[in-house]
Amino acid sequence: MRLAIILSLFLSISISSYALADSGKYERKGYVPQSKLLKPVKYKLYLDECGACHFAFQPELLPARSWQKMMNTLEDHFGDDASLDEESTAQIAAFLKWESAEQSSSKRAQKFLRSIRPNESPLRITETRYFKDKHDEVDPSVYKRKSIGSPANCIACHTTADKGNYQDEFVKVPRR
Amino acid sequence: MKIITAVFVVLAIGCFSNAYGVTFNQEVNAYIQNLEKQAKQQDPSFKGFSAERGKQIFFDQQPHQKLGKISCTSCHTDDVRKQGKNAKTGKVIEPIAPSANPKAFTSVKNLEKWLKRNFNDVYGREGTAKEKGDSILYISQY
Repeated sequence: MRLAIILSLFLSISISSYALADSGKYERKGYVPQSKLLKPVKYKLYLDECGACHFAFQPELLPARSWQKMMNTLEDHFGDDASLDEESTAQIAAFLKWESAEQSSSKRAQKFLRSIRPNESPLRITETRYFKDKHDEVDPSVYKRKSIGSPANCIACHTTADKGNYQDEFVKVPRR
Repeated sequence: MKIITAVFVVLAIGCFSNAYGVTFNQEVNAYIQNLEKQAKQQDPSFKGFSAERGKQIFFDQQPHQKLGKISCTSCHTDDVRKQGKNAKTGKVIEPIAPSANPKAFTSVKNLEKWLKRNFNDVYGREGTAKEKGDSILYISQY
């Protein structure tokens, strides 16, 4: 029995080291390391309330100070009234604070955070340096396509955005 | 005996028809009665909500900074039984007519939230009690 365990351990180690040595090949098989992913949003109140009007952006995409500002200005939310009752506002504000970029172990979230000056609290993810650098090859006309609408519509091209997966290999830009 | 049973059935479902012949649950009915009271206070000549006025509110176009023009139909389409689409983000909006969406007009919290937001979005101010009641009556008749 003990021999079997040792053998299977040895086998699994050798398989995984083989996979690591040939990571290029395996990356294309769809496996994405956890560190490259953002946490899929599961908080129902946030999905229901914020997700009613737009893609439910992962809180890791902005620093806590941005979310705080956002939640304090819901009456004028990019020109729209997105106000909520006090209790829901407080609950969502807490969620955003505790799941913000500063709290994230994701490399991508840290890159977003580092691209924002400490004295700035952007409200638009699309205005951060990191976002702009990552999308600099996208012609502005692409965002105007009917099925996309704006650069804020992550999931229009990042087909797995709701799963926190923004890897290039899952990008499919709609033609219209 | 039959009457008692009927009363129980109505109570069990929790639905009460109001003066407008539209059926809502108890919570929403109380909300509409309260709107009526407010409308009377604000205008003594008020004689009840009107679906016709509600239709006007729903279709009336207002100038909008980003979209050029906006009305309720910009997002909800001109048929409240159809799926709509957020005019800015493209996100799908479920039909708001009770016949097409069983959740429509079942929660006062939800109703108040959207009336406040959408009057502000289209008319740049909150709706009066009369306007809110008129809108509810127009949409809920479908």
